[in-house]
Amino acid sequence: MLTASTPLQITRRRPRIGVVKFASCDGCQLTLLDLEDDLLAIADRVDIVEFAEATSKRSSGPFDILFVEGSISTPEQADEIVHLRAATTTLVTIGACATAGGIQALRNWADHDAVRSLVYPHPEYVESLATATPIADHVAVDAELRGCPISPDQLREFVTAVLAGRRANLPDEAVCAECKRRGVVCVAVVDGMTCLGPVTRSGCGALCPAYGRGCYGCFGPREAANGAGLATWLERDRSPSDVARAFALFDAWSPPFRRVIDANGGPPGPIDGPARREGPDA
Amino acid sequence: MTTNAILPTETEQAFLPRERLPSLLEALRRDGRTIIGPMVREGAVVYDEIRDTSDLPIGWRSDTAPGRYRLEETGSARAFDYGLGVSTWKRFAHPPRVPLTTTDPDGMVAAVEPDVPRVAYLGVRGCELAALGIQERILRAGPAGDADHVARRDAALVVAVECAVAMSTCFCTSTETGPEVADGADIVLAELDDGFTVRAITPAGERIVGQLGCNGATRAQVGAAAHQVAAVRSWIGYPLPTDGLAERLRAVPDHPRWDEIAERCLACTNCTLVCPTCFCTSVAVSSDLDGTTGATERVWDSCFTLGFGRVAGDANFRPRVADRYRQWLTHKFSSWWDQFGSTGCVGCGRCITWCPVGIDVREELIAIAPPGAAPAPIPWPPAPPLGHAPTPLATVDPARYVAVGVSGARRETADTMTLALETDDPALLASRPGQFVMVARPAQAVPPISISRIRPAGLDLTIRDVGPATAALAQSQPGDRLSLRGPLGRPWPIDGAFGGDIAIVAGGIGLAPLRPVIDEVLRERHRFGAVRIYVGARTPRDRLFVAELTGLRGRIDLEVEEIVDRGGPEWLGRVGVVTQLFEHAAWTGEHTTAFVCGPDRMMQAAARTLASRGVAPERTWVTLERNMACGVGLCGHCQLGPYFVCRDGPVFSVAELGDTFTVEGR
Amino acid sequence: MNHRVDPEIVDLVGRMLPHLPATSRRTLAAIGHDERPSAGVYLMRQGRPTLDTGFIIEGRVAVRDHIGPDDVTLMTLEPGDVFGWSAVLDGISTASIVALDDARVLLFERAGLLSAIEGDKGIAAAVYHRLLEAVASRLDATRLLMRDVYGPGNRA
Repeated sequence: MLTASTPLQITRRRPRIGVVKFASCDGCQLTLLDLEDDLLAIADRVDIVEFAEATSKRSSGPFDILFVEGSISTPEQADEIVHLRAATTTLVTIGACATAGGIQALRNWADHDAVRSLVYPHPEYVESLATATPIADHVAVDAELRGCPISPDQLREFVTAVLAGRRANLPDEAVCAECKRRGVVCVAVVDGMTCLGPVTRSGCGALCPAYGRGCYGCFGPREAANGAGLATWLERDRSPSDVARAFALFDAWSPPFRRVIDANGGPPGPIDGPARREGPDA
Repeated sequence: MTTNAILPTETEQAFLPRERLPSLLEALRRDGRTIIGPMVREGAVVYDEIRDTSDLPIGWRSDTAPGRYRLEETGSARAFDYGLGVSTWKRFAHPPRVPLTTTDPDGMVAAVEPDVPRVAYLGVRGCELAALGIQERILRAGPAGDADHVARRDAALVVAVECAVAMSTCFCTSTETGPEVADGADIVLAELDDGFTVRAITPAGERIVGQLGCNGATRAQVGAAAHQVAAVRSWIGYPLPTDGLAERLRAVPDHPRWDEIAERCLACTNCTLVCPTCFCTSVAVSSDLDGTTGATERVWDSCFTLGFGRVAGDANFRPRVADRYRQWLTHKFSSWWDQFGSTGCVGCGRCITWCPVGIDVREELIAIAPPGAAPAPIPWPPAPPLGHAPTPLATVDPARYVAVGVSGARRETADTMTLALETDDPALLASRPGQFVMVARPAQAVPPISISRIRPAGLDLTIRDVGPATAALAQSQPGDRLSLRGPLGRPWPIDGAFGGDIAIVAGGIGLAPLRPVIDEVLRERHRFGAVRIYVGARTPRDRLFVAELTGLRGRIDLEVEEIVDRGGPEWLGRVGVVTQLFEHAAWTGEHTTAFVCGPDRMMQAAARTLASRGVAPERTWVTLERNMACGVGLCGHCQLGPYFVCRDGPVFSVAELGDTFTVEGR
Repeated sequence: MNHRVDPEIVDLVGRMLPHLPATSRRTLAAIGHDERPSAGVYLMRQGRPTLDTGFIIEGRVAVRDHIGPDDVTLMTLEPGDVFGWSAVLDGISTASIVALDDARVLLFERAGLLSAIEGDKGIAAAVYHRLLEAVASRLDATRLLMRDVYGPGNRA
């Protein structure tokens, strides 16, 4: 959560803002560019001193606000985030990778060497950690923007709130609350779909249920997320591996989801067993 | 709510043949109304704008079970045999989002006038009508009522349709809210195979029915309609024994089942948002990038969210899911009776159907408060009258913001400021000690702030910086202007202490709302016996109004004692908690009235110590902090037992609070 | 021995231990010492054997904990308060007690108090009740402080 005093200190001058990425797809950074009209108005009020996706400028800080995308997957990244933290007042993680480890954290369940040999012809040239972990496992995080990718509305609200010196309106409630306010009919109750909405934080505007799909949980667990409670209900007519699969996505490594996955035999699918690629490099 | 069906007689009912149903829609539309009614969408029946009778869910019925809903085709020509819609009429009477305030050209906060459509609700069920009535009573109450809701209800004509089928989740017979349609509709229909019996209840309904050119219903038709609803009643049976349920439930705040439910409950808010009587809302703030203009909007919220119980400084009254479930269920089935004189549940069963893990309130209630095991009822103390003080309270329009100027800003401690405000607003100047105001600035949340001094030409507010909104307020400078709403709440009953002794017990910032009490007691010193003031602070640096207290200590007609939690080498005074100041004091409290304000735990400890000194709980007054969003008993945030803290308090006697004062998580 | 009991001490014992049966007052009074420590005098030292249990008759005393360069005052005690509860337990003081004013205290030496408790159920009940009350009230105070330490801010 955004702390009480930081935004006020920042508004006294043009805040220096940076955007950096670690192991991720850049999708969340692109959301910043998606702000379009607002982006110009924001750019008038802040100095964007580091933004890999939009400019070639490099800066080592200091940053009033640093948006961090991606999870920590290599030893260099683990060092770099510590340096960046030291140069930053308000560190904001953006997206499921930075907040929970992302889809790549599924490798945390697997045999690291086996996965590397599976993916790379010459794994010995690849320096990587055995796990992909969220930023908060390495340094203190001041605020989180969730999602895969993050919501442009939430990003706009966060920046606006920081500049206005107020608390950002990022409620920690279930996706269900947004479904009900919008009048979206519950896909879990009507169609029996697997929907992670009840344990997932709102902010997407109930995007998937509004299109007749169950929530994939990309905003990650909300406060008091009762993954076990939902899993118990799902297990009435689903196999353990189906239940594990539902939770084993973008926020699989978040503790409430991870516990469900572990209780249901780990993430199912090809990552299950360390298959070795056939061929001359094997 | 009465369960008696209005006994149909041949003379007062009309019959509308099925093929002429469109004439009803036309008549409603000629009356300038948008018609809201049932339709099939996304695999369920929802309520939305109806353009044509073909929009109606003809030949559909709903099959429901805990956590399950399926539509089934029946092949019938009937349009209203679908059971209940997913959505409730509150979507239209108390919508999910309503604009509250905007920024006026002077940069001040201004209320948004309601702008509501003229509508007809078509197909309202008996239970739904009861729910509309319950919400309306709550939202029309308070010092002035909810302007938006009042406008919406006044602009809506209600066409009820009696139930001819029931669903497995129905239990309106237990809550005595159906299936028969009771008071509140303008027109009541009952659907038969070949048409509808039609009953106009109000003049507005008569005007519509008069345009339909119907013949009178035959005795057989009226009888068939009555038989239909009687069959529904007997099909539902009596699934939830509600006799004495309110008392049984109130007696078991510690039942182990609350924790057990919390293992299943996802706290997802679905039950509350589909509930047709749940009315709770929060205020969402938006702003421009400069923070100079902003707007607020009222948004459906739920007692199942963590944010709902949050107060200043991120303290929280209901951190656990078990607390939140207990809050919801006991309010619906128990304290609702004490607070509003009716059931809070109309037995529609939506919370059962739409619970994503199938929690069935009927089952939970029977397990937690089984019938037959009724303990002796524990009555709440009688609700205090509004404005306890004989001094009449100013009538305040609770939606109106008044612009006031800041004339002074004095720093009290590192995190606390006192702002002196000047105003000629008669209502604000008539504020009483213990009342509070909502303080708004564009682009900021609107915190409740207690009044720390009432002057002939203005008010003092003492503000502790515990979050962005209070931080922004605390940075106010002379010359700034703020938007105030109030004064709100019940004041300290100072006149109730005339002729007796006074004990004032303050902890930390809790001294602020007590300062006007000290002012008033000193102005009328001759009316009181001994006056004792006990003040606690965290550290010597956190003491408020130091010079004033020092001045008071010099008076021979007052006893003023101070204590700090943590001293330090420079502090020569007392160290410990505030209760130590009177734990072993020589006085006894038979004739003492105590006024206490501080953190909850400190007030509980003070109340215990005061009781041991002989101060009666009826004369021990505390002021509670809750998450007050509206300040006038409409948003539900500060609901506590039979009270809204903002409207019925924030000042309560310990006797009035009963065990709500001490049971955690309430 | 009874003739040597000071009636003023009997009276003080009655005031400090209201639950004590009148018949036991003299027994306890016989082992009580009416002392008048002046401001600054230590009645008890942290970490040292607790030699006495004391009741404050006049003046104030401080309960101090040796944290850092200065002793920190954890709490100040008033007339009617009791200190030295550890005398009836292991006998090691958990804090220091120092007179803040020229005070007057009623002291009971550990050995004498324990044997009086041993020999008279009425004394045992009244003394333990009073000490338990004191410990409960210190715990309550501690709990309030813990709220301050661990809890978020209290009021706005």
